[in-house]
Amino acid sequence: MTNQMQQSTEDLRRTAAVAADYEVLQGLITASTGVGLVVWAFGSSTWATIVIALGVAVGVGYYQKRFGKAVSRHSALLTIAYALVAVVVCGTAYSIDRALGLPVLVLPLAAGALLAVGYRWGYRHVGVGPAHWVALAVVVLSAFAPLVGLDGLRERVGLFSLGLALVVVGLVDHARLVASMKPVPRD
Amino acid sequence: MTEAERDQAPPAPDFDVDRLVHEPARLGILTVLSSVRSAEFLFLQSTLGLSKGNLSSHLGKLEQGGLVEITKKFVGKKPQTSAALTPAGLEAIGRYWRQLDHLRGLGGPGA
Repeated sequence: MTNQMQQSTEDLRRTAAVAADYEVLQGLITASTGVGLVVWAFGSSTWATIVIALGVAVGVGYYQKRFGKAVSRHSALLTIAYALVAVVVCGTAYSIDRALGLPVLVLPLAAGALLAVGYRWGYRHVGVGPAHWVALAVVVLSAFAPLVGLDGLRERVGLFSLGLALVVVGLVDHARLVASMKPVPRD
Repeated sequence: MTEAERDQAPPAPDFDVDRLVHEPARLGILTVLSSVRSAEFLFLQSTLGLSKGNLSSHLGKLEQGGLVEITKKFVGKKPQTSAALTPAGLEAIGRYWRQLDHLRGLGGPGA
């Protein structure tokens, strides 16, 4: 097989991988969710909800208009189940952090575990890069913020670090998606 | 070769490449569609960089060959076209990639 043919088949396999993980690569939606969590960390859960809802609505519309729609082979039921479990686990962890004031926060540890699972499952075709792992590490390390005196936000440190991580991961994913798409020639 | 040896021999390698699949644009369309349940026309254009006319023409050939199913509907007043692989299409693209991987293996060191 010639080098040129090998290169074009590799390019095609990469394109197929992006197509397979298209939904998770819609990073502006992830990033806006991150912004919402940061807003919540600084005190307003109402504004956070508005930011997240707007981000999802605008983001979905943006990607459909710019690149079109594809229905994933990922199980919709599993995706919804993961999202529900994530909300319940993180919500419970946050309540524990608020109530008990432990020296090690539970929310960042739970969020880190959920992110790791999400990486394995959601990016199983395109894979994750260094930025994703650094973001996850920052989330997990923020659990120890009270131990080193970085607890100005108290129990909301976890919301802040998770929000920041999602912003970084979202922007990286959006950049990866845009770089993979090709300009559409006119007839 | 005796009959017993013939029965035990590995199956002959499959080099009969489907020309409907092999054309680069159609190979791209089928490969992308194998990664999703269905995709809109714009999505195929965006991932493959094909013009409207070019993509329409290749989708038409694939539909005639029974490898792709095309659905047209209206969203409001805007027409929307989407495509999905048929079971025959999924089998055809899977077979093609197996053939390619087999050929690549033949060209490796020590082959």
